[in-house]
Amino acid sequence: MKRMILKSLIHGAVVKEANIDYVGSITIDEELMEKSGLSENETVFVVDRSNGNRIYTYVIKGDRGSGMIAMNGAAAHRVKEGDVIDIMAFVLSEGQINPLAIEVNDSNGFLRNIDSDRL
Amino acid sequence: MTFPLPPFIVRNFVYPLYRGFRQDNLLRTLEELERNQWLSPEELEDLQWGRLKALLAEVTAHVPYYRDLFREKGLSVDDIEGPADFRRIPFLTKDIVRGESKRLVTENPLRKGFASSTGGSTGAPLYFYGDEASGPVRRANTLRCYRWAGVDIGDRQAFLWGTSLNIPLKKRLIDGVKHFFNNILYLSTFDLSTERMESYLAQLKRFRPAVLTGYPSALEQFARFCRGKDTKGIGLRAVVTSGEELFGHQRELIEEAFSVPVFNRYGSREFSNVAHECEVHRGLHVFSDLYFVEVVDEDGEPVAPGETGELVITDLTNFYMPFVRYRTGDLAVQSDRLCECGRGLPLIEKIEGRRLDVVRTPSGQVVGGFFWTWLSRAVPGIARFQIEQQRLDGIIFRLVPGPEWKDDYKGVLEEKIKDNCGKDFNVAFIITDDILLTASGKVRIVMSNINERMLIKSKIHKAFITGESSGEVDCIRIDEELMSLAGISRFEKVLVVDMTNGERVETFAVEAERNSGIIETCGDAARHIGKGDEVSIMAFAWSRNSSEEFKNILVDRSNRFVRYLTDQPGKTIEE
Repeated sequence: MKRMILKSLIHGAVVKEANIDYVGSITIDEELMEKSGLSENETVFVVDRSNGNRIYTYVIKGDRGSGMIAMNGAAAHRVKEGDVIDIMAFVLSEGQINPLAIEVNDSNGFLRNIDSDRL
Repeated sequence: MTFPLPPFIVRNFVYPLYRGFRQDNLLRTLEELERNQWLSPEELEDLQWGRLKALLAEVTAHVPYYRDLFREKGLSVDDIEGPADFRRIPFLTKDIVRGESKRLVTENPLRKGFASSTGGSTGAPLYFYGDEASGPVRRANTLRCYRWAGVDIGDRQAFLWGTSLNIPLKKRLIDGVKHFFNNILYLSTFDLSTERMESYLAQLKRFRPAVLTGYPSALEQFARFCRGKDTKGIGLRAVVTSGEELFGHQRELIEEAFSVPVFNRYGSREFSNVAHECEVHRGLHVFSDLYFVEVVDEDGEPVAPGETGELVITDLTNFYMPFVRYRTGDLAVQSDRLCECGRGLPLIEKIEGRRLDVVRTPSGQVVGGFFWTWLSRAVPGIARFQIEQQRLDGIIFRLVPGPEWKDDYKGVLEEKIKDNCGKDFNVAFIITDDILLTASGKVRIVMSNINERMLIKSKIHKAFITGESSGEVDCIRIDEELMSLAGISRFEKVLVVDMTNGERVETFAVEAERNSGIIETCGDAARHIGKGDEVSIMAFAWSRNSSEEFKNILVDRSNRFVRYLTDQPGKTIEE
C-alpha cells in the first residue's frame, strides 16, 4: 500500500504577483524549488493563510534568487498579491520519508530548514 | 549489572543448567557445528546438499506455495541434482513473503513456528515465521561465531545495539534477569550524546565485557569518543560488527580506539548469522552447514569470483516457513578462495551495502556507499552524514558538523559530486544536529527514496465552455481531437479551473465529437462552471521521474487547436 506523504514544504511565502492573464500556475524562485525538492511541472497544494483558500496547481520555474512567488491564471482569483501561503507537495511512498521543509522570510529568501520532528 | 556473575560460574553452572532445563541439545549442537567447520570443502558440500534435498522434499510435500510452484514450473525434487537445477526454482522475494504469508507456512503438524519480523530499516517491516526447532541451532551458531572471536559461553558481552531507551517496565525486568544470568549488557544507539557515551564507557569499565558487538556507525561514533581515553580498563578481547556495511576507516578507528581486532559478521532477522570473519580477517566464512548462499547479478545469474552481486539465501533449518532462494537485497563480493585458517566453510570476500541503498544518476550510473563515505572524509569536520535521493537528478546531503567544519566546504563537496554524478546533478545541503536512525537504531548512509511525485502532464489552455447540461452525470465533455492532442484519455480525472469566476472543479473527462469544438460541463460541475466561461483543463500523473512530457495546448475562441505552449513566468499568451 502506498500513502501520500509530504515531501516538500515552503512555509510562510509571500505572493509577489497575481495575474489572471498570465500563463501557468504558480511561479516559484528556482532556488526555493531546489531547497524544498520541488521540480518543474510538479503538482503542489497551496494553502492561503490570508484568506483560507486551498487550491492545487503546478509549478513553473522563476528566476533564481528573485524571491518570486506568483499566482498565474485562474489561481489568481483565489490567491492574491500580498497573501501569505504555504506550498506543499506529496509523493506516493510505502515507507516513511523526511520532508524537505523550508522557511522563508518576507522577501521569500531562504531562512532555514525545518527539522522533521519540529513540524 | 554492578555485580556481574563471574564467567566461569555462567559457563560451568548457570548455562548448562538452563540448557538442561530447556532440553534443547544446544551444547551438543554447538559441538556438531564446531566439527562441521573443519570438514573439507567437499564434505561440507555433501552435507549441505543432503540438507538442501531434505528441505526441498519436505517443502514440496507440505508447503502449499512450493507445492504449487513446483507443479506450475514442471519441477520435481528428484530432478534437482546440482546447483544448476536448483537455480530453476524462482526467487522468493519480500513481496511474495508479504502476499503469500499463509501459503508459505507448512501444513506438517509436527513443525512448530514462532512469529518474527524485520526491523523495517528499509521501509515496511516484514512479518514471517521462524522454525522453533531451529532456534537452538541458531543460538549454537552464534556461540560458534563468538568462539572465533575468542569469546566463550559465559564471557561477558556488551551490545551497542538499537535498543529503545523507553522499554516498558515489565519487559525491562524480564530482560534484566535474562541479561544478568547471561552476562549481557545492552547499550542503546538511540542516544549517543557525549554525556551518554561518557556513561557507556564507565558502565563498560565496571562490567568488563570480553566482547562489544554493535553497528559499525554507532561503534565508529563511540570509538571516536573513546580515542585517546583509557579503554584497556574495559578488558575487551574483540569487537564484533554487524547490521550495516563496515568500511575500512571504521575498522581502523575501532581497532585503534579499543586495541582489539574487529570481527565482521553478516546476519539478518530472517536468518540469524549467515557469515562471519575468522581470526585471519580476510573475507567472511559462510555457514554452509546451515545456509545455501548464492551471489547473483541483476538478471539472477551467479556472479564470478571477485564480482559484486545480491545475496540469495536458502535457510536449511527453517521447515516451518521455508525461505528457498530468498533475495535479501544485500550485496556481497563472491569468492572462490579457501581460507588459510583451514576451515572448509566457503568464503565471501566482503559484504557491501544494500542493493537499493545507492544513488542512481540520470545517465544510469550507480553510486554506492563507498563513494559517499570517501566523500565525507574528503573535507574535515563532517561528524556524521546521510545521503538521501528523492529525485533522479539530485541528492540531499545531510550532515552533522564537527568543530572543524566550514561552510565553504559545501562548494568543494558539490564539485566532487558533480565530477562524479554529472554537472547538472543537484545537491541540497542540510546542516543538522542529528541524523535520524532507523527503527532498529541503524544509520542508512544512502537512502533511496525516489517516490512517485504528481506532475502535470496535460493542459488545454484558454478554452471556452460551449454548453452545460445539468441533468446528467457529473463530467466534462471535450472535443476528442483536443483530448488526443493534450493526451487526456477517456474517464481521466481532470482539474478544470475557471478564469472567469475563479472556480476549480475536479471531475472526469468524456470525449465529445471530434473537431466539434464542444466543451461542456455536465451535472454538478455545471453549477460551478457555466457556458461562456474561460477555462483551463488539466490532467496529472504520478511519476518516479522529476520530469515527464507535458502536453500544454493553446486553443482559440472556438476551441480549435492553435499551438503547443511552454509556460513562461510572468507572461501573458500575447507576450
